[in-house]
Amino acid sequence: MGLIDPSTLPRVLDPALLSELGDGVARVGSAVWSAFDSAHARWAGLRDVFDVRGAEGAYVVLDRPHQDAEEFATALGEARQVLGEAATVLLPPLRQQRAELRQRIDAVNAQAEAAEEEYAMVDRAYWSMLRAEPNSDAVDRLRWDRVEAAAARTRAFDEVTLLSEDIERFRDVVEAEENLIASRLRAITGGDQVRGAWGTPVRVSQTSWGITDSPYPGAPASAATTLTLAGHLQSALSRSVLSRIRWLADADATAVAQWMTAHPDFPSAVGLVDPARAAQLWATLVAASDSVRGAGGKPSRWVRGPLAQLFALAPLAIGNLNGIPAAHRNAFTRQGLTDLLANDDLTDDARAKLKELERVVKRDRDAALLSVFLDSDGSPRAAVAWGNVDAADQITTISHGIDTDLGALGDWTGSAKRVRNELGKQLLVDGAISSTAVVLFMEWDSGTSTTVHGIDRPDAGASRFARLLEGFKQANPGAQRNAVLHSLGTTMAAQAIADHPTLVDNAWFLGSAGLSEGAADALAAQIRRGQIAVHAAHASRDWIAPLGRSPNLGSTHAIDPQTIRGVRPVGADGGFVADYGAHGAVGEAVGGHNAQRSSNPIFWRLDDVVATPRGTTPVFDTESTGYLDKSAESFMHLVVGLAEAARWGKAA
Amino acid sequence: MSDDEWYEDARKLNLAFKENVAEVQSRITDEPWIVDGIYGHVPMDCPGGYQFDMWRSTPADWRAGSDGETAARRLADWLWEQGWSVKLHTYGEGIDNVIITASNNEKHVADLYVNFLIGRHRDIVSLEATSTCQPGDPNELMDILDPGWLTEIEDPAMPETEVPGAPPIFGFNEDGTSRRP
Repeated sequence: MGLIDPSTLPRVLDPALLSELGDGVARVGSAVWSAFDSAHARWAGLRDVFDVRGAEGAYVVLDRPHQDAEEFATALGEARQVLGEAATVLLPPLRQQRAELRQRIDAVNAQAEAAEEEYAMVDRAYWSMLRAEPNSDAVDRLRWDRVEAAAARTRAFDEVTLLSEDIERFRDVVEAEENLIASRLRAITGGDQVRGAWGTPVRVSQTSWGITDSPYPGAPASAATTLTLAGHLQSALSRSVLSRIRWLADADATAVAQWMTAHPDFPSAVGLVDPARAAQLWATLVAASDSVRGAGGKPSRWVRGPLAQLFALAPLAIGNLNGIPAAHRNAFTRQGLTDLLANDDLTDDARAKLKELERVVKRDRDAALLSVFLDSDGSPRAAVAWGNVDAADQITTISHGIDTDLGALGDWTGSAKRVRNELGKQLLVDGAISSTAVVLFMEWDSGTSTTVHGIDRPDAGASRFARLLEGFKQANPGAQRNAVLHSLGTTMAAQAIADHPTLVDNAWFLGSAGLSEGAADALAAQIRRGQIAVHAAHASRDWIAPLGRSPNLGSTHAIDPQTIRGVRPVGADGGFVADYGAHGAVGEAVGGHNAQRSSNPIFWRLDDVVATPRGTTPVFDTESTGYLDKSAESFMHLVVGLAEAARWGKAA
Repeated sequence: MSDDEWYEDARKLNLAFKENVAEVQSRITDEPWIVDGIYGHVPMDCPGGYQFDMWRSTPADWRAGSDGETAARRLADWLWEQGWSVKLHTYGEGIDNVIITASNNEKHVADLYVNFLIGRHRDIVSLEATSTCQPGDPNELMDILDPGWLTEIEDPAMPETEVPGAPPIFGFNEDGTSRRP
């Protein structure tokens, strides 16, 4: 990424122009009304000079246009109000925001340029000194200066990335306000009804499809926008879900209950809302609600206002929002889980999974339910956290590959908990002071072996994964964000990381099913800029992972992360792990593709195929150590890496 | 089987499981152990039934008083004498991380994992135990143990520490108070 081009900052309409337009529009309306009124009044005198039997219709021929003109003038008056409100209320804050962003662009660009120049200078001096006096103190000093300059450059370009993201968010907001103004104007009607020869109304409509340069095809081009159709839809979805939540908070309770019953899929959309906007909505709702504090440090209970209504009637509309404090989310999601379980329409399979989720949350004091919903085919999805994600110094999110849903909750909650426990012990033994949280992300449909080569499911999962981590960024901006992924989970997370630089600080890819080319390129660039550290483990006995990235089998994500420049390999074939525990330990070899020690499904147990006189015979293990088993070498490297990242920011 | 009978049956398994694990804990220290989140009162799935698991670790100021391998070997020998099936994982001379895995179905402990971490700044023994699998639907048992509510607002506070052998919490009443034997 280079510096920010100020010309990409979206323009904001000049409020004075809108005021002028509003005045002009009102003048037109007034002139039209006045002209028609005058003409109508004079036409009334026709009766005095024209009297033809059978032609009495002539007397009323201007009645309809007169009425239309009155309605038209009223409509233009409404338009003036809309334009006036836009000029005085909606646009001035945006102009202020734009001015602030413009100032920041200059400052951030200057800082990045200076950091780049400083690094280049120190780098030249270092290499020059190294050639001239390789063993001198000056080389040591310059080596350290070079490290510091590189870190400063990374920080400066992180600011560039953050400002770019703020500009994109601002672009969303500008477009949203323009859409709001446009939709209000479009809603105005009066005196514009087209009628056919017999007085019947004629409808006119315009439909557009696909990607267009302007959000209003055929209209004058608005502020330059590079929003893709997908981005536009995502932004529109975010806005419409938030609008719905506001309605659920205030509307009549019966109407709310009926709407929620008729839209059981709504909770699945809540997690896709922009966390920054979710946080703003949360602040508004909190300000308008009353709570009573729970005893003994318990969270508050909402007793009055919009949050009380939402808790009672639509708890997942809040619980599933990313960007609000997890302590509050947990109360709402657990209420939502209770409501889901009370639904008689659940399938037996869904009920069994949700009941297990209930027990997972209840058995562990450290567990918080971040989200729960039924997806479009009725399968339950969820995310669970261990530790305080609102205050932790480090948040590590774990996710799975194919053939995994809440039916595997037991295995995956065990892994998540074990990572947190072992990491906590590692930090204590090392004397480090750092609080950690681990999150298990099971919100996505990872498909099966028949869909593994596609990119659609990883893309869909990536949207949710990105929102989850953006939510952590919103609620706990100082926390380091790490990710541990298995199999197709690596493909999914890489899609998210590629689109959102600085989303993840350290990532571990275990038994990767491959990355798309675009994601691989983006990751390489982020590694080069020091924005992310990526580690990859692949056990030599894992013959499944390469199948997932085989182009011969049609894989759309064929890049092995181990081949990406800057990705650090992690051992998984058994060996000594220095720094694990107090003095290091020997980890076991991972026996297959599985994440946890398991004898199911059968192909993870398949160790080898041997030739015999009667043909080939498979050789099975009774068990296979998984990538995330506590005795596995890969698990030990992960714990050491996370502990290092907690201390130093990036894992070596 | 009525709900009360089932409660009593499950409670006996849970108590026996925890008492036998407590014996192991007491060999290391009688001081209050830290509850690592999982207290051990919620039935979880196992093939054909339900089981309990509990995670504990030694108190913050506890020191082993010996190297890890000596401490672990002492415990492993004791477990073997008590009829446990024991495996001691050591990593060779000079490597102080030692792990014991054990089981004793007669004592209702299907899996016992004890990790001795003897460090520069802290010594920690962490213990994870899983009970044997009992026939029965864990969801139905959970409804008996925990009537009514899931909302975190009303959750009772579970202990953060527990002395080995203390009467364990097993289930809750309608008013949210806990039930102990």
